[in-house]
Amino acid sequence: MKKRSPFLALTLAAALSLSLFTGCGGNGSSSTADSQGSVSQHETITGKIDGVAATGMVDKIVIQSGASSEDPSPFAPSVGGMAKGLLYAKLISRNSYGALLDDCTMWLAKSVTKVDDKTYDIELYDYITDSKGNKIDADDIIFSYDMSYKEGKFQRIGSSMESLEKTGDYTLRMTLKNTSPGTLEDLLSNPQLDIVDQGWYESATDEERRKDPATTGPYRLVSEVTGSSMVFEAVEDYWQKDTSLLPPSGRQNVKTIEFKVITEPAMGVIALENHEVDFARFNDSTSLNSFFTDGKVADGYNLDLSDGIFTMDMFLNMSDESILSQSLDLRKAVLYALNSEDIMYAAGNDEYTSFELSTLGTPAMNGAQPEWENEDYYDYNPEKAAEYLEAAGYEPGEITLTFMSGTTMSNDSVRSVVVSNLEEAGFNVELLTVDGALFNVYRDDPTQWDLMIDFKGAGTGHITGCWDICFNPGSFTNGTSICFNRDEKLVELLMAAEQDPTPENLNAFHYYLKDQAYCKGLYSTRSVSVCTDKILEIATDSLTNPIPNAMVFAEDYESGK
Amino acid sequence: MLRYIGKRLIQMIPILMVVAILIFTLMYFVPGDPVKIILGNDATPVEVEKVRDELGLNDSYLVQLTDYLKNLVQLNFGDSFFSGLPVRDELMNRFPYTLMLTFCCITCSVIFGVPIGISCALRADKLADRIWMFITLLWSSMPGFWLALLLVLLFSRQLGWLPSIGIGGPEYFILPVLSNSLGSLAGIARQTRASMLEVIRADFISTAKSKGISRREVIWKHALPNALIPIITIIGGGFGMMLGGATITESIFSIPGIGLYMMNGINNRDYPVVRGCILYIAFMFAIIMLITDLVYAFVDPRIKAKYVRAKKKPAKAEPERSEVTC
Repeated sequence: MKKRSPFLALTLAAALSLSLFTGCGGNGSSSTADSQGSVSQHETITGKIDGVAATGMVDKIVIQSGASSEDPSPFAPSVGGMAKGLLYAKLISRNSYGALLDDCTMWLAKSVTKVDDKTYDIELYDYITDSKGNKIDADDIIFSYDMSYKEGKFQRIGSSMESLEKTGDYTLRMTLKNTSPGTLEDLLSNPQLDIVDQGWYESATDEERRKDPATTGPYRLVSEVTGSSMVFEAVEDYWQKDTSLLPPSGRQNVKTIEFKVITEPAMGVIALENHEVDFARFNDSTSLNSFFTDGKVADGYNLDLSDGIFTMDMFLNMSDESILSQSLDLRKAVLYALNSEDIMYAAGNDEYTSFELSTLGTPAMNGAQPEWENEDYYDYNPEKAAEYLEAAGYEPGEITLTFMSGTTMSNDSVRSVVVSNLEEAGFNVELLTVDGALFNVYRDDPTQWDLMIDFKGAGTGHITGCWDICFNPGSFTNGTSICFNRDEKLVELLMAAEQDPTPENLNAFHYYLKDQAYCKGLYSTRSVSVCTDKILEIATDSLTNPIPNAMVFAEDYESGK
Repeated sequence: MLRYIGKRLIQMIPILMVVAILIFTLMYFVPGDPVKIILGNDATPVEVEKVRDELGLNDSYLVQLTDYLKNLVQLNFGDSFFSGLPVRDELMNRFPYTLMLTFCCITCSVIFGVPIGISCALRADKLADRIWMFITLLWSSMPGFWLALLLVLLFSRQLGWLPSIGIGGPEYFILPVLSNSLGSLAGIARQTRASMLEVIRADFISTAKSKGISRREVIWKHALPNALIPIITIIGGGFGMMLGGATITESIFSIPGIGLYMMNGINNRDYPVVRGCILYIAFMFAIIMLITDLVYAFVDPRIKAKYVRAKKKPAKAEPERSEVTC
């Protein structure tokens, strides 16, 4: 043993030296140069920096993409990739998340006119052509909607649109099934909507549709290596010559756009540091910390923190199967026991990458009222939680709650914090941790859980959309809600807020939901975009996806430098 | 020999069918709804039902199984629920990258692992042997993802010599091969050492030495061929495993191989992808095992002789031989 110890020590020393040399265990980014100034907690960074902008098209941009398999064919399901946004134009483009018609830019549509609450007339430009020169008219739009519904995954067409009729060669009439705010805008601009020429589509082979689709967007596909990269080039002679009529998604600020598939966040950081990509997106604080420390953006980078559009929420089981349905005090005890901030940090976030919520929805959603943010929203208070537990007539340790979570949406740290919060307030907790697919099944089963953590969004971009998917009985096979109860008053308030989203109606729903303690919005995660500081302005769409073709580049910008 | 190969290939068909039915049945009964993952959180029950119908998920087990097997006979694995792309095409597109990665890793492991093992066996219990055994133990104990990240940080981030991600020229494969092959190299080295130690202590090696045959000839001509069988087994197993996809390596280095594809398929309950990948792995394993058996025959004349004897054995010879035995 004695003989071996010097050798062992040497080997361990060598391994440690290698770790130190490679930078393991420490943050390699030590630069603190201030390109955007220091920011305070909860403040967003808009990704704009000063500099002399390039005139005309720059040559190339390489972007990190997390989508490992994406089919660029029209009507193929979009799997979170950004490629199809470059290929297929929409009728309109929303300027921000949840933007209503007045805050949208027309794209293929020349105008959208309201006839009544559910009916809209759409006029198309009469000179639209795709990348192969085919003319696009009203018939093509109807065909594209039909195919996006049947072949694609744009299922909201079925639940939101009553009809789409041709009224002329370049005019259509769209009738909606409901008047929920944001429904029309979603139908006209949804990323799952691919508009193409019917004649081309029907005559093209599967291979042609995939390798060389005729596009109505500003770019065309040049090459693709499945699961590795996709290269796009600006369409020459794009149909819309007047760039002032184009939304950001329709611009052509760069000639070639390459998406490189990188699924590991840590590798995305390295690729950006190595200039193997010019732009990357993250959603965790560890990755952000490589480029942003102590509220300052690292030298050589530009950063955009877009407001989160998804919420992480805790739902309580209100069916007869759960003890929580029996007492309002008990539910309040649970909600006061939960520390949103700790849960947010446990999920791998920090004050820059996420923020606590004050309702079921995020401030980015249209209709969210600013005053909600200053109210007591079951702010963490274990003493109050214990008081409510006592008021409900239970002793500490008397009640056991089953807490369900999915492995894909929350980690062990989150579960530990929730368990410790609830135990501190006097509850026993049983954990039910399941994978994503099983989670979706158990979510609809009232016998499985008392508490469930889940994320929600608003497809329409309006906060009522987020409420609707949780509490509209029509959205559930058993005609209840995500909490398994059917509260007629809540439904009535929801319908009123959807029909007429005035602050009064929105407040009425928000306060009633809060009083009943059916759920608690915990936190929302921001979308983090990082790029070289030679990109002066980061452009993102209404869903916080980057728009590479609308970014503003510095005059000395060069990809990979 | 050709007859033997043909027989083994035919035997693979029922094996693959059983695997196909088994995996289909398991996936069918595993709880979890892929449609809810596909459509996201804001899909209504009506929308979910429509897509379930379109994907045939509402059909009975037997109907789904029959359709699946019918398609399988035509080598149609179906389309991915998520990307909509045909699984067969995706497998074909991704196979070259996995094959190249696997081939390079195994070659690397054999080229370095076998000589290290032989060298250690010849210097058993000496300092060099102990150092190498310690190093190989370290390599086989190191988690692949940790080693991969360490290599990327050193060679890509710090030194800037090699690309960290993607595919392209040979330089793109250096780090993935290095991180993926060290573990199997260590395994091969240790196995070679153990086999060689057993052989070089055998009587026939002593005889060869006493006859004055050179040391090099004794090792390479007499000892190594006799020690090769367990080494070939470990190489064959490793090759088959790697062809199934080096999920972590592919994920870290963004190599569009089979492993990453299957992993995403499992996470998303993308049934066609998972079934296609498992069938592919089963097929690859069967082929590799067949090749391994053939290599056994090539390196060991005793095994080859068995095949030859079986072929030459006359049809009515059995009772006669029994009599002699009695």
